[in-house]
Parts: sequence; structure tokens; C-alpha cells
Amino acid sequence: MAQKTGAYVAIAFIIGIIIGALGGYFAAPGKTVTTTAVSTTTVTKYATTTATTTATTTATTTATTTALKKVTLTIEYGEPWKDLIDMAIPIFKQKMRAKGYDVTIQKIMLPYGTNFVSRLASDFAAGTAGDVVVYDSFMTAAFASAGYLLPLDTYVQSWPDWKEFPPAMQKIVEYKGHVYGVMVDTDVRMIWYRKDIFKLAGLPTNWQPKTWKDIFDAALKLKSKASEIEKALGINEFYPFYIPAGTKWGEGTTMQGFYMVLLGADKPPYNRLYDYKTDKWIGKSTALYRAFAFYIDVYQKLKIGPIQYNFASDVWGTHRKVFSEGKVAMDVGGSWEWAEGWGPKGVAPLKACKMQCSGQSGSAYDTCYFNCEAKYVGYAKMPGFKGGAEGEPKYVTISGGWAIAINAKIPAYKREIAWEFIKVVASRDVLAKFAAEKGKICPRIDATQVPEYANNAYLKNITEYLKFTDFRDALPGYTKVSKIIQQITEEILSGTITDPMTALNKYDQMLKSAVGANNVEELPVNTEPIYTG
Amino acid sequence: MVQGKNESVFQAREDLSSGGIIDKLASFFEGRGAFLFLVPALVLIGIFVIFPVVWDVYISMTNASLVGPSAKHYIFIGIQNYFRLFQDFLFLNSLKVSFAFTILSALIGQAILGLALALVMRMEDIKGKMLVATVVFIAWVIPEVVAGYAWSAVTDKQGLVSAILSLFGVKTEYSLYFTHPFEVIVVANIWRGTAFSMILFTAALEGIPKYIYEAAEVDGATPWQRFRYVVFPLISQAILVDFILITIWTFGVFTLPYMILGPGGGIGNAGQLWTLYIYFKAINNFDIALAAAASNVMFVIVLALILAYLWSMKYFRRW
Repeated sequence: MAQKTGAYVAIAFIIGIIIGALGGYFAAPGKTVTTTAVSTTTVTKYATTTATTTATTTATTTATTTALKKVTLTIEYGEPWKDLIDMAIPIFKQKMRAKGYDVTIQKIMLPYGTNFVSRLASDFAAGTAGDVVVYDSFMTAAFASAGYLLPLDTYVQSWPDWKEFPPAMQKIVEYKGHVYGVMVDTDVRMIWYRKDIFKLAGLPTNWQPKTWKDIFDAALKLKSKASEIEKALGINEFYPFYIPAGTKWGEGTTMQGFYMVLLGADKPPYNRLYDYKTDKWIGKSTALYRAFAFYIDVYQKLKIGPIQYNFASDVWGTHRKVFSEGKVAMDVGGSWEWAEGWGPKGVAPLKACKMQCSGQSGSAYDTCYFNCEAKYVGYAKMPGFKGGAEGEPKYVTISGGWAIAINAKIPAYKREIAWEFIKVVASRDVLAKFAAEKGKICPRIDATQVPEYANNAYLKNITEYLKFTDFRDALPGYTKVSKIIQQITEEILSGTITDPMTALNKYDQMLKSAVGANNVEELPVNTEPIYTG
Repeated sequence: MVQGKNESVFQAREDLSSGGIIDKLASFFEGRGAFLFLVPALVLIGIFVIFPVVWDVYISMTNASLVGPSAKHYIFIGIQNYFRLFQDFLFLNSLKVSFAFTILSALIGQAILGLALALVMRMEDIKGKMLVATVVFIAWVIPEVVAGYAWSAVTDKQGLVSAILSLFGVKTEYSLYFTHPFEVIVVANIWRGTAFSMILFTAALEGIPKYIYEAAEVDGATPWQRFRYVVFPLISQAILVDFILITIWTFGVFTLPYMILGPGGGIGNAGQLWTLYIYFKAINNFDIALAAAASNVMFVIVLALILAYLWSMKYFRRW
């Protein structure tokens, strides 16, 4: 009898579980996003009887009698674009209400310190990426060829604003003739330097190197004054020159560091990773040899670079912090650092400027801070190897930037809504204001019509760089090549590789195994040393 | 027993003939239908254990990638990835690092320290042993991410270890996790995992009746002899169980070394365990097929180790 009661209980239990599971499944409002950094902004239920709306909110009055369609849109982006997304959301919601939708935005914000590219790639592969994503534009080919991104051709064709994006900005987000994203910011790269430290070492505060030799000379001079600099700034370590290297930086090593050297190492078209005439990756060339030699000189021969910062838990945060503290005098980095790195609301603001402007608040503080920052932080163009004497570019820089796109797996009924969101994010005022605030270059030509952007002296100066900027060889397979560069520069850091020829041979061999020997060519190599002191 | 069963079956038959649907169901579950109770568990195991293993083996034999054209259409390439794997110096390095890490941090560090602490806990009139136990437990219960960050802070150039060393006039030029990545993760893992061995050994020691010690003492055994001939044989089963469990766990350790060293495993990949290698290949290099192959090799090796342990357990029993 007891057994029978047990069996009754078991049956009831199983039926209960089944009903509970089914109920839970169908009652759930939508897909649950399992991520650590999800926060939800829910629109307040839009009442259908708000007839007393004031005249200023005209858009909201249009949908007063019919119930709004509820839609949830998931946006995945990195913390650097937080302000951009936050700025766009209220405008977008209002616009959508006018069209009869009550949109709930689910944010998947990837915090600073995350490898955004890897995270997004795994989210796409796992099917958990947002409906709309902000991604690093160099991944366009890799994501598009994997079928992760929705082609936007029909949308951009009927979008009048598309022509405001210059051809280069349209090209970055293209793969095999289709458009997959809209650029939200772009950038250039340069050598950041500390004017106060240069002064201490007897170097000009208005510095512009003309050759690689100028950089090494300045670095060695700084190195010889290291103990005085450490004493004056109250720091316990000092390194003259920092260029990203190793695997921890990920794409940063290739983009921020290696390309900046490679592009100026020889005359075009031999200064690249890819030969567009033969459609092959370059396994050996003078430019590659010189670029590896540059890293070896910095980290091994002249010992002017901080090896260990390339292995820090958070390399980005560290590079910003050490430059702000004066532990690094020259830093090869991106134009966004002016605000995002050591700006008033940046990751590592300058202590001196914070103190100097401490009495002020709001925009007065920002103005005071930026004026102060200009006294401490300078930026110089990265020169070519011999400043153009051998036909190489006189100055080099490289542009990338981030784009916003639609997940190919988005349900059809949400596509239009996602595109509407992109249109708001990429609209003139939103993009220009965001760019001005963050010290980033706006990818839209008409940004100059927005006063906040047009009046920014810093942005005006660096817009000069766009005249000679270049782009990555972001073809399918590029990510593999980039990883090899990260691996080889890491071996230079660790001292496993100490001469450029070994680095070059290893690069060539790894490249052949990654993309196939048939797709690699070897050009003649000039092995002259790059710096003799 | 047999009679009881027959009775219940008989009862069930009677119920079946007598009618009610609930009665019929009840009889069904009492009899052969009992296996239905296993179905939910089997389904879950099937979905979350068996399917991923089969899928992993399949993926390791394709050219699948996380991005690019082969993310969309991948093809079967046989065991090419396994060839690639054994030609990859990073993989061979990670094998070496993982074995050294497991032997040093788990089998030597955690087990010996855990045993020593368990023995100390049993001793009477030792002051402060609860404090030590609490500290050891804290290391075990705090989240691994926190532990990882704590260890990067402790071994930083401006961290605690450098501060202590500077008291003795030793100037550290670099952070310890940078100059000695492998040693740092070994010590961190000993610190973290000792509590488990300690608990296991404490339980085993509790199981030894006190009169056995007393008898040995009366027979004039020295403390070492008591340990060697009384305690050790009696807890040898526990030691083996401990070895099996900490071997499996330590081979699979990921979060702690990842937090301290990142996927590259520090300078010269000196601390790149194969878990880090697999992550590095799959997530940083997008090469999930190779990563799948690496994890299968790892599975086979860990399985072999466990079988070896089980075999030695039999041997120990005889001994």
C-alpha cells in the first residue's frame, strides 16, 4: 500500500514538472539573454488615454487610440559606445512610438577589459549575439563570410544619409560587393608623448620625428635621464617608448603597433601584409624585416620599451594608466585616447589636470581640463623609416573604427525596427555629438555642421591625418595573419627571438601553414640594420 | 524478498484487472515502468554530456572555425587536426606545462599540505588551529575570479610579495606573474585547493578508532611509525580518492590561471596550461576545430590517468 502511495506521488510530481516547465516556457516574454552584463531598460507601458499631452511632445500624441505593438530589441556593444547607444535610445523609442511600436531595448554591454572581438565572435557562433551589434570593422569579412551579418544593401540605397559617408567609410563595411554595416566612428593612430617629460629630458615640447632614427634618439635620451624623471614625477619605473606587442593585446598589437611600423618601412605597395597584384600574402619582404627589427630594437637591443605591460591583466587599462602617470613618455596609440584614455572622463585622467581644475564642474571643468591636457600631452605623426628618402611614405597612420550592423539571425519582423535603430545611431547629430565628446573622428562628412564637433580644436588637428591614412588588409584570413604577428612579437618580448631574420623566417613559415604555401609569396629582403645609434 | 516482489506483482495484476486508470499507472510504475523515472536524468545527460562529446569528436574532424567562410560551411577533413595539433609547439608546450602543474600543485602541494593540515587539526592542545582552518577554507570558498585578481595583485610589482621581499633588501624589477608565471599559478593553485584535501583527510582520520593509536602507543611505536604503519595504510584509500579527484580538477583548472596570466599563459607561454591553450585556439584564434581536437586528447589522457589510479587502488587494497 505504501508503495502504491509512493507511485501516486511520483506520478503527480512528474505531471507537475511537465506542466510547470511548459508554463514557464510559454509565459516567458522573450528570449533570455544569458550574460553577465545585461541590464534592461523597459519602456513604461504606453497608456492609450494620454490625451492631455503638451504641445511640445507632438510625436507621442499620434498613437493615442490604438495599442502599441510590443517588440524587444537586443543591442550588443562595448562600453566605449555606451554613450552613443544611450543617446540614441530615447530618440529611437519616440520615433518608434510614432510608428506604432513600443520597443523594449535589452542592452548587452561588454565592459572595458573584455576582448570585444572574441566575445562577439563566440556570441555569434553560439547564436546569442544581439539583434543589433557594434563590431570592429576589420571583422566585416570574417563575420559576413560566416553568415553572421545581414546585408544592408537595400536599406542603405534608400537612405539619403548614406552619401554623407565618404567612400573609404563605405568600403570598410563592404564584403564581396555587399554592405554589412554602418560606421559609427573612425580613428587615426599617432605617437602620444608627454611634453612635461620631454622638457625634463631637454627635448623639444613641440616634437615631430621625421625618421625612425629620431624616435630612437629621443627614446635613448629619455632613457639616459630616467632617474631624474622618476624623481621629478615621484614614480618608481620609467620607460621611454611603448608600442603594443604580444598576444594579450590581440588585434591591438597588429593595428596599433605593427602596421604603424610596417606601412612606413618600405615604399608602397611593398609595405603591406598582402600583395594585391598577385593576390598573395607576403611571407618575406624588406618592410616585414624592418618592422620586426623595430620591435627587437625597442624591446631587446635598446631596451627602451616596457615588456611587462604587454602581459598585464588588462593591457588597455595599463597602457592608459602608465602614460597618465608618466611611466611611459611615448606611446603609439589611437586618436580616441585624447578623451577616452587620459581625458576628463577617461579611463586614466591626468592627476595634475584633475587637481588644477578641481574647483570647477560640468563643462567648465571639461574645458579647463582639456586646456591643461594640451600642456602635458602632445601627439606626433609616425614617420616613415627614413622620412620618405627611400620612397616610403613620409608619415603614416592607419584607420579602423567600429560599425553597427544587424545580426543575420534576427526574425524578419524585427529587421525594419533594427534598421530604424541604426539610422538613429548613425544620424548626423547623434554621431557628431558622440564623436566630439569622445574625441573620436566622425565618419560622416556633414559632422562639421554640428557646432560641438566643428569647434573642437583637437579634432580639427587630427582630421589632417585622414589625408594620408591607410587601411588594414582585412580580407578573409586576415585574422589568422594578425594572430601570427601577435605570436611573433610575443616571442620578441620574451627574448625567444632576438634577430629580425629569425622573426621573418618564423613568420613566413607560420603564414604558409595558416593560409597555405600557394597563397604566400617571398620578396627580396634588405637586411641592413635599421638603427646604428 | 522474492516473495514480497511476487506479491506486489500479483497485486498489480489484480489492480489492472480491477480497473481504475490511476491504479493501472501506479502498477506500471511499480513494475517495468520504473525506468521511466530515469528518463529525465538520461535526457539531461544525453543533451548536456553525451551530445557535446559526440559533437566535439565530430567538430575535431572538420575545418570548422568561429568566423569566416568555414564557420558557415565546414567540411570533414578526417584526423588532420590531430596531426596539426601534434606539430604545434604551443600544444606540446601546454601538455608539458599541464603535467608539471598537476604534479607540483595538486599531487605534491595540495595533497601533502592537506594531509599535514589534517594531521595538525587532529592534534590536541595546538592553539590557533581553527584560525588556520578558517583561512584555508576562505581560500577554497571565494570565487575563482576574485582569487585570480587577488593573486595578480599580490604578485604585482607593487604587490604584497614584492613589499615583503623589499624588507629583506631584494629589489624586484618586474611583477612576479610576469617573470615567474608558472611558479605563481602553481602556488596560487596550492593555496586554493588545499582545503579540499584537508577536509577529505580529516574525514578519513576521524574514521580511525582512537584505540588503535593507543594500542600502537602502548606497543611503543614512535610518531613516525604510528603514521607509517597505522595511519597511512588506513587512509590510503582516501589518498587515492583525493589523487583521482584533484588530478581531474587540476587538469581542468581554467579560471584561476586565466585571471592571472590570460590565455597566452604569460611570458614565453610558460604558464599556458592546455585549458588555456584550448581557449586561446578557440576564442582568440577562432580555430574551434583544433581546440576540439585538443580537448579530446585531453579527455583521453585524463581518462588514462584515472584508469591507472583505479588499477593502483586494487593494488593498494592487497597491500
